[in-house]
Amino acid sequence: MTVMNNLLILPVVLPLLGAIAIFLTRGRIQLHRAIAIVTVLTMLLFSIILLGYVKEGAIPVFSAGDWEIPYGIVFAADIFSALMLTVASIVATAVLLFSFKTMDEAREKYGYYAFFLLVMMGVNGSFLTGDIFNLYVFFEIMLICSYILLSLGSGKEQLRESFKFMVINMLSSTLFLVGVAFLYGVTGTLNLADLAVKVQAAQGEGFITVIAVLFLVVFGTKAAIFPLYFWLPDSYRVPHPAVSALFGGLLTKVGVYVLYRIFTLVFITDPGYTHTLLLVVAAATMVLGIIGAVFQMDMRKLLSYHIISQIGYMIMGLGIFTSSSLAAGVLFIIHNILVKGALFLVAGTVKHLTGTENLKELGGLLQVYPWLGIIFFFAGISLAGAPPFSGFFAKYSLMLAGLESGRYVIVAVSLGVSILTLFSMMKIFQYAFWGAAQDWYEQKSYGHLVAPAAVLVVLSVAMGLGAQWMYELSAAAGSQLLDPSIYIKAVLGA
Amino acid sequence: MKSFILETVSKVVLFVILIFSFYLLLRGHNAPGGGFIAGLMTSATFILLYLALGPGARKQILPLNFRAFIPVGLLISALTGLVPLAGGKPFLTSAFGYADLPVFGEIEWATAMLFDFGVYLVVVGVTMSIISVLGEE
Amino acid sequence: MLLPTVTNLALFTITISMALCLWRLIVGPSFPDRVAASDTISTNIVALLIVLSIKFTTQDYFDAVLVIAILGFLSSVALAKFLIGGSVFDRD
Repeated sequence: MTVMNNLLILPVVLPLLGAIAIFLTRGRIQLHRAIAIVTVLTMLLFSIILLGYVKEGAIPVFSAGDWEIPYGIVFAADIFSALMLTVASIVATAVLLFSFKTMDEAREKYGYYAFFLLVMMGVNGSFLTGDIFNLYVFFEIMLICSYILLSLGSGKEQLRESFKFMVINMLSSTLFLVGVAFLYGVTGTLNLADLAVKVQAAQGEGFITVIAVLFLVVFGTKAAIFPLYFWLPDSYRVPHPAVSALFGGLLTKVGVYVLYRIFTLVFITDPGYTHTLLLVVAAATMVLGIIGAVFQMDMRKLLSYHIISQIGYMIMGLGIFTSSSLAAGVLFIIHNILVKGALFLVAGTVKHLTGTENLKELGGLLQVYPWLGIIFFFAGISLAGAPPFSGFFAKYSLMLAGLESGRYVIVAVSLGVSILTLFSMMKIFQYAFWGAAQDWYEQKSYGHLVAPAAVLVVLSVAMGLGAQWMYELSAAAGSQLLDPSIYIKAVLGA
Repeated sequence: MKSFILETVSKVVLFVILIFSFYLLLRGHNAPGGGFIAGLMTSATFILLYLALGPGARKQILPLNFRAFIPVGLLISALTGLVPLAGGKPFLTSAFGYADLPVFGEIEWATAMLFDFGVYLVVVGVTMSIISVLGEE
Repeated sequence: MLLPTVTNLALFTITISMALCLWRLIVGPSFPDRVAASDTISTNIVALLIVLSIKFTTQDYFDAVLVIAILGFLSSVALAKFLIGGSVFDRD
């Protein structure tokens, strides 16, 4: 048992300890900020070390309480987990820095940073855990704390949307639990690797497919795929900008991560049905998301519809289900977390500086706040998929993978959606940044506000410039995902 | 509105429930029970106190800030989990053994109980915070 | 042979009694009816678990029985207080 195995618990325990420290020192906001940033930076450092460790194919595994492996709670990190962990820490750092500048005192006093850290604990736990019931627990930690973050500072509209968000997520969590119970009843195990073995043994049984579709509904709701995305645009628009940047960048992608994990590890007995279903759903999600976005005039709502459309691309990578498509999907998720985080941070900055997000009221921001416009422009065209940004390489490799396996329809759909994405990004740019400046803008210093978004955009560019290296990494992740025996062998040790 | 019968009955029943909750806490690491349900039972006694005597009397008898229980309990649980790391064991590994106590005879102890105690504090803290918000507004 | 017959009979009776209480809980024209019905249901659950533990010859249910009994008692007290005073907790 190496040191790295034991350290796998750190990304979960560190935020917990940070949150406890914040709860114990009530009211001292400066201290809270210091604790939060130190915790998040340590997480970032650790996840980079972990990434370096797993890059060569090692999969550290750890069983809580020294229980024997299929019985205890297992944590395992393959390349995909480590990548997600790293990106999550990067976005968390950026959002945290943005919150320092924009969060109001009432929210900070109420324990904003503690709940922020607890959300990160749930996210990290979901990325690392190798046990499906434990996954439920971490999801619940993440969701309960996100309800609090969402309703913090409660305006009327905010409470209404938080309530909607909460009811939908409670419902899908209950279905999740029902699904876990079915799986346990059928296979008698909760460990993901062990489940994979048992489900393989039960190949050809119809109920496995039924459970697979149940899980698709559950995580489809959490990841906001067609036709279960209706809750997302409104609830991501109402909270504090920093919170919606965290949600928009990170939370839905946790659902996508789980879909990737279970549909490459456990439910692979009937890919002709399940993965074709995924492809159909992916196409519908892309198209409907972008159509929703094109008609929006509210900046954050438009970006929220974009999230839905981009989720479709990620699911497309999963649905094609080849080594290169999974690699492209992983690359796309990472790119999207960074860029979406940056876009939401820019939208939040606009809201903070001008007090409105309605595109009809804005205009000419480029003249008053040039850097804001430049960062938005770069992030936007990266999202739309222009070289040399990360989006280009992610989309290019995704389409290449689609063409390789002869899925021409979905490739055509995704190309069309790309154009509409570019169009809607240009719409924001034209309405908000182009043209003559509105006379009521005040000249404020805003460098500290856009810095976190700028860092994310720079990382996106770096991902594009270092595309070779990034692609190799995600290709390694993809081939690990496609061959579940690697994960099973690492966990079960046989 | 105070009820003399309720007051008298609850003064007796209260201690029975409290002892039962400790029993649940102490056996929890290897039999049905544990920190969560023990915490709920302890909160039940405090709620009974509320119901019978009113919040004012509750504050006189138990001048505790239940909200402070939550971080303390979390801290105890997290630290109990972390200690085995120092010995190179996985997170949450429990040490256990047998001890001879004067009155009780031989009993089994386990560090998992400390973890349970942390959970117990959190549950009491959360339940009582909810109740006091509902009851005192 | 006597014991299994008796326990099964008891389970059957308790189930019918719970069904009747449930009917009263749903229909119950007045609030006190409903309080009495819910209290009787919790007593019935206690009885059900005891009979089950006789049937399965196990002691594991006894703690659950105690917990349910205590919670049933508390909820009845709270409901009764609400009934006579209009609020569960006295304000003073």
